[in-house]
Amino acid sequence: MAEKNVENTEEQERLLDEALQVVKMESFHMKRELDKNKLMDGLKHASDLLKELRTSALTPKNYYELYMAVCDELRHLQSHLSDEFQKGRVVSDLYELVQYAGNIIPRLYLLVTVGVVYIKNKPEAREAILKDLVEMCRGVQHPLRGLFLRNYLLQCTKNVLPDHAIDESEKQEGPPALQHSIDFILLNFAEMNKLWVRMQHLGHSREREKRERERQELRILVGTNLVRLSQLEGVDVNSYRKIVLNGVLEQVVNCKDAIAQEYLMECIIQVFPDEFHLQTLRSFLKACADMHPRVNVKNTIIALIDRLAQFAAREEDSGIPSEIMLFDIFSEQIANIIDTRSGMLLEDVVSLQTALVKLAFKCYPNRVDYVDRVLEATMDLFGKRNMDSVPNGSALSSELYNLLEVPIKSYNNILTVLQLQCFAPLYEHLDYESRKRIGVQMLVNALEHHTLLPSAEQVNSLLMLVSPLIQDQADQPTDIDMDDFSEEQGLIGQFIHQLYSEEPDQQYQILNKARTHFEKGGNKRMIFTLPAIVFSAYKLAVRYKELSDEDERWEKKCNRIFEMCRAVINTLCQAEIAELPLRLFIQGALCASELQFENHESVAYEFISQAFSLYEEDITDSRAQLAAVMLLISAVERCRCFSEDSHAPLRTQCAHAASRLLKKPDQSRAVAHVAHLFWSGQITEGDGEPMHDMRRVLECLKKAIRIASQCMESAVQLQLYVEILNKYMYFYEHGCTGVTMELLNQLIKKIREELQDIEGNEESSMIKVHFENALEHIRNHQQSGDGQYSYEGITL
Amino acid sequence: MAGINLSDRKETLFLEALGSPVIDMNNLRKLCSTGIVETCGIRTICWRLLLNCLPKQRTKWPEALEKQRCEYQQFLNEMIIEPGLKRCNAAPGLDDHPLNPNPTSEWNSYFKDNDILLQIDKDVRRLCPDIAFFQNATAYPCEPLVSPTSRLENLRKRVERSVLSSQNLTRKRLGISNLISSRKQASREYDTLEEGQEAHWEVVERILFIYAKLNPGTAYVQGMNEIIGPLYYTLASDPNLEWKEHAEADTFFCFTNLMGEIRDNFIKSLDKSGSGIEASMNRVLCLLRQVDPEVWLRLDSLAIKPQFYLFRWITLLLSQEFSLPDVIHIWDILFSDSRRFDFLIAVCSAMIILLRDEILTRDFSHNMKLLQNYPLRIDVNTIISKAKEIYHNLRN
Amino acid sequence: MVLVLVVGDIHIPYRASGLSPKFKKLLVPGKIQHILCTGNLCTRDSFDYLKTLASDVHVVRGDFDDNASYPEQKVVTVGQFRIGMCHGHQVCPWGDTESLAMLQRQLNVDILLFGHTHKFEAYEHDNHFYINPGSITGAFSPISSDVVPSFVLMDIQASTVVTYVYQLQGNDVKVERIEYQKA
Repeated sequence: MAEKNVENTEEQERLLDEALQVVKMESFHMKRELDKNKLMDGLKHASDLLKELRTSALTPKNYYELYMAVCDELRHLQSHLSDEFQKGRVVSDLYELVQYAGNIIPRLYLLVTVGVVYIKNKPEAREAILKDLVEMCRGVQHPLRGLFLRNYLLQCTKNVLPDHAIDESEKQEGPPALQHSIDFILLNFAEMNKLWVRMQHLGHSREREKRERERQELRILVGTNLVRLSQLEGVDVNSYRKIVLNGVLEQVVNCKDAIAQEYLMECIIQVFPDEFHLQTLRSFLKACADMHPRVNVKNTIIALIDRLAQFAAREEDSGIPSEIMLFDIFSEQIANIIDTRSGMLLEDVVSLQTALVKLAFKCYPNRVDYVDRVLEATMDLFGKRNMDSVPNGSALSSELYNLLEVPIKSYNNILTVLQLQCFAPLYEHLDYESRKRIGVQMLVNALEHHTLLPSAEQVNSLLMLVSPLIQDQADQPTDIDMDDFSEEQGLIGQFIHQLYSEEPDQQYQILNKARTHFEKGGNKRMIFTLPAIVFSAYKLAVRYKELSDEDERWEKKCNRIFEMCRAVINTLCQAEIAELPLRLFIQGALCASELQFENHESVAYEFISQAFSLYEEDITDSRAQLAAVMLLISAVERCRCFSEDSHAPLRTQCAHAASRLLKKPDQSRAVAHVAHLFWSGQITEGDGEPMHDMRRVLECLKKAIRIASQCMESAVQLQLYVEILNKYMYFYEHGCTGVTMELLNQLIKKIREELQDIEGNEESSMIKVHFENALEHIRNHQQSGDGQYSYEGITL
Repeated sequence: MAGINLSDRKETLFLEALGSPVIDMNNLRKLCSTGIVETCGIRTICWRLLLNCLPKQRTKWPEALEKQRCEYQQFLNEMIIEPGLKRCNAAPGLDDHPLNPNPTSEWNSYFKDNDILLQIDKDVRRLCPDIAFFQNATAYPCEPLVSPTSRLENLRKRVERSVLSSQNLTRKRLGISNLISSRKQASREYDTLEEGQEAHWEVVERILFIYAKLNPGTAYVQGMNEIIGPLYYTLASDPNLEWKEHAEADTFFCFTNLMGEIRDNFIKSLDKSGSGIEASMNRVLCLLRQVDPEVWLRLDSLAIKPQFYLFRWITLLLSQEFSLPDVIHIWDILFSDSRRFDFLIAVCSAMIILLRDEILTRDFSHNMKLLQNYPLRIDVNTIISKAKEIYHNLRN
Repeated sequence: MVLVLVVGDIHIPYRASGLSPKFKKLLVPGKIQHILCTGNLCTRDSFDYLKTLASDVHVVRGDFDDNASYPEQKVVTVGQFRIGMCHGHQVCPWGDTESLAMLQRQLNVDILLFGHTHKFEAYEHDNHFYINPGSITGAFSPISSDVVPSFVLMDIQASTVVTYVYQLQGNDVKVERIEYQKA
């Protein structure tokens, strides 16, 4: 056989095929001889077929295939031998006979095969034979061949190892029987591990990668020993702790091989029950500390923690025995590991802390202090390693983010997160992007779970934690994605409504606190955040009014609220917008007007004046101007709190503003709008009665008509006339006697005349329909007869 | 001497067969297997007979038809009209409303039904796109649903997705306010008919909807529309107005009976069963192998699997492979087969055999295209003759 | 029957943080064919949310809407009905029946939808129908006390409109039904 391994796949296939052919052929002969009861001849052929396993030319995968084929044939041999034994046709000294086979590989495989048959039929010889076999296998020191041979040994002895500590049928065996089995397997395991590790060092260093790959392919052979150990029913927690684990760990630690250690530690976790692990944590974790530097113990520990956390979650009642201070043990041991393994990357350290925090949640959901301990430990570690701020996009950033996200997503209550003392300091280490993301997570979580923040301190703490969203940061990037920005700010705006205390005074503190944060946000942010503060404040004022019986100082407090709102809205004006603040002022005036606290009239007056100032100084677009004027007029109409002294100047302002609009049609409409102010507006002297200033109403409408007739385009004129006609009708029906039938007839006649001249198109048909509807309305009133406003005398 | 015109002769035979007080079904089947004459509305009666919608005794016809048509009307009421009225006229104090998530809510069933209806609607709108028939208005619309004053709506409206036509009041520079229609008009994919009318495809939609509601096991599967198409077309084109008036109800029963026989083809889980589509496809191939092994071998070696073409041929009773008149002609003979659908198997084999020259010489992609778009040049009568020729092989 | 959702005065984020979960559960996509919004969304997010419920959404501009391209008034046609939409802050006095009637005459509509007062209303006046869906979030309004979150669903059948109004009273959704026949 060529010593050098031939890698070429075609070559490999050929070699494997050839070997399998030989196996087939020899097996055929073997079976024939055995059928003829020619044992020795049969064994000779068996030996020949086993010779194929002597090859060094096959890759592990292909060797495995060959091995499987051979095992099939050996099974046949074994069952034949068993039958012979049963029938009493024993060939004595068969065990010695097979040792005369020529080469060691066939010899040992046959020995194992025969040995197992012997054990089955002569149990008293078991111990001796087992010991013999496991020792003899030392004869094969070639890693690949040795591993498979020992695997064969393990598989064959599967059903013959004594299991129970006290075997009923063999009382004379007693406790040591189990011990022997354990020893047997541990020895086999140790030898296999040695062979496996040796593979690492065979051959040239440039083929290291290939060797490591091949080792990985064979790892299950070594692991099977551990599986076998776990299958021994007689092994209980005590024997595991005292004998089994120690034996295994000794081998694992001492072999000082990274691949073996990493695999075997994981194997231990997977293969043995969780109850065992709970009782052996310290030993296991200590061993982790002693691993080869190349081993990433993080994965092992996390695997263990995850398993135990799942165990705790599953077993509702019996769960973790209370005497096992699971968290303490892990906490202590992990600290030890981190200390010992100074080469451990900080991100792996953090990753471990995250696993620990998750454990705390799964097993001890009420212990907020555990979580804080972990965060504190992490902070200390950061300090020790002089890590101030984590670089953006690094693995460490990602791990730290994951760590901080756990409490948010597990508690689903940011108030609890705020209780964690070490959360904020640790958070400060993060890079900008991650801080922002954590902030967003917290807000989203609060909104989803409808968490309210009921105190100013909590509000303050939280707003500090979401400060990347609220204020410019030293480390923020220069270019911002506008869509993301709007979305984030919208989130903040929504969140502001979660700042709520049942206690109105506390609520005031909250709003004040929040306001200081938001006012530092800069122009772009204020547009999103300050309006929500203002409205929350208005709502608070309403609450004070509702509780006015219980709080004698409510009126002063309302004043303070509106003072605060005034200041906030003025701050908003600095963002160089005018339309939004104007509307906020109007809302405030209306609110004050309704609440009627002491001094409310001046407050409302002030707010409306401010709105007017904004209109005059800062609103230049003509459409915006029209909209603003109309709003102001309607707002003044709605306010019931003004005395004549205050109301008069406001009326005048409205009228002036209306008539000074740039475009004639706008003027006409606005002036017509003002008429309502004079009709249904109220002053306090009126005791709840509308003003009904007929003279001024008619003035406005006449003026509106006059302005309309100054419009150049006749369609525009016409449309305005029809609109004003409707207004006349409105006031007539509300008792404005100044609207006479002549007036109406005149206007109707005028409209009719102009309608005839106008060009027929889409616009004019709309006007026509409008006009028709108005006339229809009049007609209905005329016909129905009842009611005062019967439009008697209108010619249609 | 000019003899009696052959077709006149045939017509007489049919009229005689249909005229007797007890119809001799064997005789009728034999007659139909030569193709049914186009005149006098004979076909619609023959189909009804062959699909077991009419009893053999002529005297029992009025009773049977009355019963069926009443039953259909009942289904219509139960499944469409009454639930619709319940939704409209919710009695005061009744708790139901459109957003009700309760499974017992009338509205909840409405929306679940819409899921089925959506699929049916998509398919029937484009039924037989080559002819105008299905887009035309039916002379017998369903009054309660199409009347302009009715508060109920036709089925298609339930699943139509449209954009409302809207007008924005815009103020132009000059100051005039005007309602400008938005550019997005309510989308109309198909020309809709006038108020109070409904198209034939809407009738088919209704029949399929009722069928799906009555048979929740199969519900609606795409392809059923291709089966009902020729059925309804034939019945709704009846020259006799008394029969034509009831085309909707009668089609429902013909369709139901027909589906009873081919239903298994539409159930995926029965694909591999004895009655399933795979068994049928295999029968075609077996027959082919018997009669023309060369072609069979060629198809096999090219790996042209039956799923590529036979599946559709058989499941849809060849309705997609030929023009509508030819399909009807074939169905005359298919329905007349007392061992339905043995003849279908023979026809499929015949169709393949008649393409032997091309199949034997051309490659995979050509042959696939050929089988999936059966060429017009092969006359349907040739196919039928060939099928009859090889039919007896099936019996053996 | 055509199902049309009428909503308005959402005011997210200035005055409200979101819709009540009880309403969200009812508003499932696929049931509603058209949405008419009386205004004051106020941002794109609310518009996007409405689009998930139905693809045909019509909006008129409220006094706090950030999008200047929404029209001040709009008329949509559904079956036999012309439906006018206006936020209502443009009308003086706010919420006044006769003033709204003036708008109805100008737009020449059978039904007028309006908002601004945050109070649900549905009434017939002079043979025309007026609907205010209220505020779906129950947003604060200085001129209305005790705002109840509400919205309206219209079922339009030939010449009849059945209006379902959904209101959140306490923790429960109450549904009422009103019918209107076109004259």
